[in-house]
Amino acid sequence: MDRGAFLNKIKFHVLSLIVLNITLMIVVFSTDQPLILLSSLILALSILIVKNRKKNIDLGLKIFLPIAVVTSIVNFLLVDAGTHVIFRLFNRSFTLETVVYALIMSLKILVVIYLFYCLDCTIDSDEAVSYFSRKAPKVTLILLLCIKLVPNMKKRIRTLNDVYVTRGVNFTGESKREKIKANIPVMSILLSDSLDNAFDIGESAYVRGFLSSNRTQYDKKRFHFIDFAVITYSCILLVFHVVNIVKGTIIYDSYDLFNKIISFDASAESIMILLVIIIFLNKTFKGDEDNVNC
Amino acid sequence: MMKRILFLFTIMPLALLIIFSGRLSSKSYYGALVALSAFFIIFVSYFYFEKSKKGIKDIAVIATIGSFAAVSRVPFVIIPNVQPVTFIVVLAGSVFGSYTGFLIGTISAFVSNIFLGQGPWTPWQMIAWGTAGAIGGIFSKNKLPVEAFSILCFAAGFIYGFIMNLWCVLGFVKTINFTSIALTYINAVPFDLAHSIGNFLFAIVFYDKFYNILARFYRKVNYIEK
Amino acid sequence: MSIVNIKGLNYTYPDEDEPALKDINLKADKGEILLVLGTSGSGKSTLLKAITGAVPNFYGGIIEGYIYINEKSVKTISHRERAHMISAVFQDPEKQIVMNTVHKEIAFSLENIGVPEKQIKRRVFESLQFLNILDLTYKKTDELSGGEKQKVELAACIAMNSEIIVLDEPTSQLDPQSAEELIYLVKKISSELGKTIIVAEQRVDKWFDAAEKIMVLEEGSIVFYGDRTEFYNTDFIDFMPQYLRIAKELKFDSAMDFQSVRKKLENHDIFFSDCIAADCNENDDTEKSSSIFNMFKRKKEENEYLKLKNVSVAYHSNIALNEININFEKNKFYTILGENGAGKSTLLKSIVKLVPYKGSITYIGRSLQKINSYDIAKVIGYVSQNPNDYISKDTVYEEIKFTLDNFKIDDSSRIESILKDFKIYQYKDKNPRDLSGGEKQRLAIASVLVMNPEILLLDEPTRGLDYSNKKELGHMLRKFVDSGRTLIMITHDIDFAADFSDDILLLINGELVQYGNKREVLKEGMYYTSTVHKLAGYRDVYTLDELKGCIK
Ligand SMILES: Nc1ncnc2c1ncn2[C@@H]1O[C@H](COP(=O)(O)OP(=O)(O)OP(=O)(O)O)[C@@H](O)[C@H]1O
Ligand SMILES: Nc1ncnc2c1ncn2[C@@H]1O[C@H](COP(=O)(O)OP(=O)(O)OP(=O)(O)O)[C@@H](O)[C@H]1O
Ligand SMILES: [Mg+2]
Ligand SMILES: [Mg+2]
Repeated sequence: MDRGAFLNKIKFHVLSLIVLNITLMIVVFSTDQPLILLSSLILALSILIVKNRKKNIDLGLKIFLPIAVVTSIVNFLLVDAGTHVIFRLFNRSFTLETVVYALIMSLKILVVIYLFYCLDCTIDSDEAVSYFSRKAPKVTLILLLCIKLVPNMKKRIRTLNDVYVTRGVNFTGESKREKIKANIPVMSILLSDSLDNAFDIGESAYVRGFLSSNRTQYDKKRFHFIDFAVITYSCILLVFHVVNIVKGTIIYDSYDLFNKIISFDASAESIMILLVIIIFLNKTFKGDEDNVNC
Repeated sequence: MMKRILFLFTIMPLALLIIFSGRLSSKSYYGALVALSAFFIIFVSYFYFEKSKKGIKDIAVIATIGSFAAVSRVPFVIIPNVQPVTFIVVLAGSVFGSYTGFLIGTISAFVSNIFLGQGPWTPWQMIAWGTAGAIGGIFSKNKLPVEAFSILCFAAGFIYGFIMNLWCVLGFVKTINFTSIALTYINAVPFDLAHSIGNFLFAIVFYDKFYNILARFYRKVNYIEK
Repeated sequence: MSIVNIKGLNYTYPDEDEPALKDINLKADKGEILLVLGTSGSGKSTLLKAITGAVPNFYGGIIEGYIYINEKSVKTISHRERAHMISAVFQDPEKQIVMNTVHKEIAFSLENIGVPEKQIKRRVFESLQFLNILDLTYKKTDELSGGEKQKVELAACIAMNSEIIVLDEPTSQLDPQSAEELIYLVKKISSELGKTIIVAEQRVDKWFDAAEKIMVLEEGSIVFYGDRTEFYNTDFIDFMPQYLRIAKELKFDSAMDFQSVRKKLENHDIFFSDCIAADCNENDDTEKSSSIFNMFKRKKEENEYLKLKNVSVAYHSNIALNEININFEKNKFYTILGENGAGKSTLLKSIVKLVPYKGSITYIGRSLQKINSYDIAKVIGYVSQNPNDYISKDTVYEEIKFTLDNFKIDDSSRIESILKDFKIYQYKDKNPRDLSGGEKQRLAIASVLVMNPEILLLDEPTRGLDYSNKKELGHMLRKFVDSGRTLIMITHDIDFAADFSDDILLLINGELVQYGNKREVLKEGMYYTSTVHKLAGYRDVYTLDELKGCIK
C-alpha cells in the first residue's frame, strides 16, 4: 500500500459498517416481502457499483441463477399447494406459487451474498483487525492468521514449485493422474510447513507480548458523527422491522400471490432501506478531504 | 461440570427449535430463528475460547489446520461433495481433542467461504464441520487404527450431510413435514455417499502421514518441567 | 545486580536423546553487552529462546533449572511483565513477520504491551529512522528483500524500548554498512540508556569491540566465559574477529581493537612494503602479459557462456534491476556484493526464470527464456536466500535423496559423502525442520550441490555459518569451480569473497557499478573491502594467507 492509498482509506468506522450490514441481513433473512427484498437488492447493488465491483456482481449472479433454477424445479415438483395452476399431470397440480416461492428464496440468498460482498469491499481488513483485536484478541488472531496463511499457502505452493523445479522435479507431466500424484506429497509438506509457520508467527507474537493484557491501538479510527448516525439509523430500522413482524404487516405469503405485496409498513421500510444509499453516495463522493488526518 | 452446563445451555435453543418445529415451521421467520441459534452456538463457543486459558499455541494450531482444510477444499470444488475438509477436521479433533476440533471445523468453513463465497449456508457449514471435529475428539485417547479411523470419517460424512440437509429443508422447501424432509434426505443420499466415500479414501491415503505431522506438533505444545 | 540470571539450566527438545543445553549458569549485568559465540548447532539460539520463554513454550521437551529475569523467576513472572522486559529478534526474520505492512508490523509489539496510542506512532517512525528505512514504511512485508526484513524486525525490537534486548544473528543478512550502523546503534542504546544486550553472532568483527562479556558454547555447555582480554588468551581462534586472528598469528601480546592491531602491523612495514612491491609487480606483469590474450579469448567466448544483455526487472513500478550487461565466463568464481535491496537476489532469480524480466539471458547462445525450467535445472543449480524453502521431506537424508531421484540418479554413497562434507551426517534421520539455522543453511546448499550442476547460483550461502564451516564451504566451492564449473554467489561477507572468489560484481541500487577482478574491486572500497586490506593500510593484500606470506 502506498502512502496515497493509506491516507485515502475507508470513510466509515468498521463498527458502523458491520452493524448496518448485519441489520440488513437480519431484515432480509426474516422476511419474504418482495418489496423489501428488492430495495435491499438495489441498495447492495448500488454500493457494489459505486465501489466498482462488477466482478462480484457477476459472481453473485453465477451463484444465484443455478440455485434459482434448481429450487424452482424442486419446489415445482415437490409441492402442489397454491391456486394458480399452470398445468396438471398425474393428478397433481403444478402451480405458479411454488415457482414464485423458490424465486423469492433464491433472491434472498442473492441479496445476502451481495451484502457480504459489500461488507468485504467497504471494510479495510487491517483496520478491522486492529479494532477487533482489542475486543476479542484471540479470535481476531485466529482470523488474522488464517487470512495471512491462506495466501501464504498459495505462495508456498508456488515457491515449492519453483524450488522443486530448480531441483529437477518435472511438473510438465503428461496425464492428469501423474499431476495429481506429483501433488500428493505437496499436501503433507504444505500441512507441516504451515503448522511450522504458524508456530513461528505464534512464537513471535508471544515474545512480542501478544495477549499479555489489554492492547492499545495504533492508527485508531475515530468515531465520527456519521458513524453514530449510521448506527442509530440501523437500530431504528431494526426496531421498525421487528415491530412490523410482530404486527404481521410485512409478512408475505407467496401462496397468497397478490395479497399484501404493497402494505404501508412494507413500503415505509423499503424506503428506509433505500435511504441508506444516499448516506453512502454522499460519503463516497465528497468525504475524501475531511478524512486525511484522522 | 460448568462446561457441561454451558454446553447444554449453548445447544438448547437449536434443540428446542427442532423439537417444536411442527408448530413454528410454517412461520416465515423460522429459518431466521434457526440460523440465529446456530450463530448463537458459534458465538458462545468462541466467547468461551476468548475467555479460556488457551494461548497463542492453540491459536496457531487452530488457525493453521483450519486454513489448511479451507485451502484443501478449493482444488476439489470441481468434484461435487468430495473434499478433504471433513477428514482433516476429524483428524485434528482426534489429535487435539473435541473442543479444538470443533473450533477447527468452524474456522475451516468460515475461511474457505471467504474464498468460495460467503452466504447463508456459512453458519450451517460451520456447525456441520464443527460437529465432525468434535466427533473426532471423542476417540482421542489413543491413535486409532487406519480402518477404524476411515470408518469414522465415513460416518462423519453422513453427519455433515445430515446437518446440511437440514438447512436445505429449512431454506428451500415450503411445507415442512415428514414427507418433504424424508424426500430431501433421500434425494441427498447419493451426494452424502460420495462425500463419505471421499472421506474414507482420504483417510486411507493420508491418515498415517498427517497423524504423524499433527502428533509432532502436539508434542511441541506440551512440555515437561523437572 | 544481575538482570539475567540462569542457574543449572538443562533443556532437551522432544524426541531427542542429547540435551541441547547442559547445566548452563550465567549472569548478565544491567547495561552489559554479552556476546554468545559457538559453532553452528552448539545451542546459541536455544539459549536465547529459553531466556525469552519461547523454549519450552513453543517447542515442548524437558526443561530443568531456573531463569531469573530481574530477580524474578520466569515461571512466575507475568506475560506482560516479561514482554515489557525483554524484546527479541530471532534468527530467521522471514518467519517472524506478523502484519502486512511495515509500519503496522512495528506497531504490533507496541500495541501488545499497551503503549498509549499517541506514543506508538512516534516510536514507530523513530525506530524506522534509526535504522534508516523510512522509505519502507508503507511497503508490504512480504515484498521486502531478505535484509530489509531483518531490518524491519530489528526496528520492531528497538521500538519496544525494553530493558533486555536479545538478538540472534541480527546482522546475518545485512550489508556491511547497515551492519556497522546497527552495531553502533546497539552500543549507543546500551551505553546511554543502560539496556542489556544479549547477542549471538557469527559475524563477530564489529561486535567484538562492543562486547563486555563473551561466552562460548560448545555442544550445549559453556566452555568459556569472560572478558575480551581473557578471551584473547584462549585458543578459540575460530570465534575471534579477523583482526585478532592476525594478531594471534603474529603473536602480538595485547592487541585489543582494530586500531591497535593496525598500528602494530605498521611496525612490520619493512618486510611488508618489500614483499608487497614484489607482489604487485608480479601481479601487474601477469595481468599485462595475459591481457592481450585475454581480450582475444574474451572476444571469442563472448557469446558462448552465460550472458546477460540489458536485463531489467521491475516490481510494480519499482525498478529492481536496471539494464544489467555481463558475460559470466566458464570456470570462474563470481561474487556479487551490494547493499540490501540492491537487486542481487533478483538477478539470480531472473537467471533461473523465477522472475519475469526484460532483455535477454543466454546460455551458450541459447536463450534461457525459451528453455523449460526442468532443462534449465539440469544445468543451473540455484539455492535461494531462505534455506527454509529447501525443507520439504521428513528426514535430512530423504531431502538430499529427493534431488537425486528427480534426476534419476541412484547413488547412496553420494548422499552420504555430501552429508559428511557438510557435517550434517549425524542428523540424517532428523526432521530438517528441527535443525539449527546454520545446519539448515548447509542442508539447503547440499541438496542442490549434490547434483553437481554446470553453473551454481548461491544466494547468501554464508548466512549463519561459523568460521570453520564457512572455510570448508569455501574450499568445497573452490574445488567445484576448479573442476571446470561456474559459480555465482551473493554474500555480505567480504572476507569470504576475498578469500575464495575470482571476480566481484558490485551491485548498487539496481545498477552494476563495478565489475572485475577481486583485487581491482576491493582496492578502493570503503565498506566493500576486506578486513586485511584495511588493516594493511590499503596496501595490495586482501586475505589472511596473503598477509602471512608477506610477513614471513
Ligand atoms: N526444534 C528443534 N527440535 C529438535 N532439535 C532442535 C530443534 N532446534 C534445534 N535443535 C537442535 O539443537 C541443537 C542446538 O540448536 P541451536 O539452534 O540452538 O543452534 P545454534 O547454536 O543457534 O546454531 P546456528 O549457529 O546454526 O544457528 C542443534 O543440534 C539442533 O539440531
Ligand atoms: N516480490 C516482490 N515484490 C515487490 N518488490 C520486491 C519483491 N521482491 C523484492 N522486491 C524489492 O526489490 C528490491 C530488490 O530486492 P532483492 O531481493 O533483489 O534485494 P537484495 O539485493 O537481494 O537484498 P538483500 O541483500 O537484502 O537480500 C528491494 O527493494 C525489494 O524491496
Ligand atoms: Mg542459531
Ligand atoms: Mg537478497
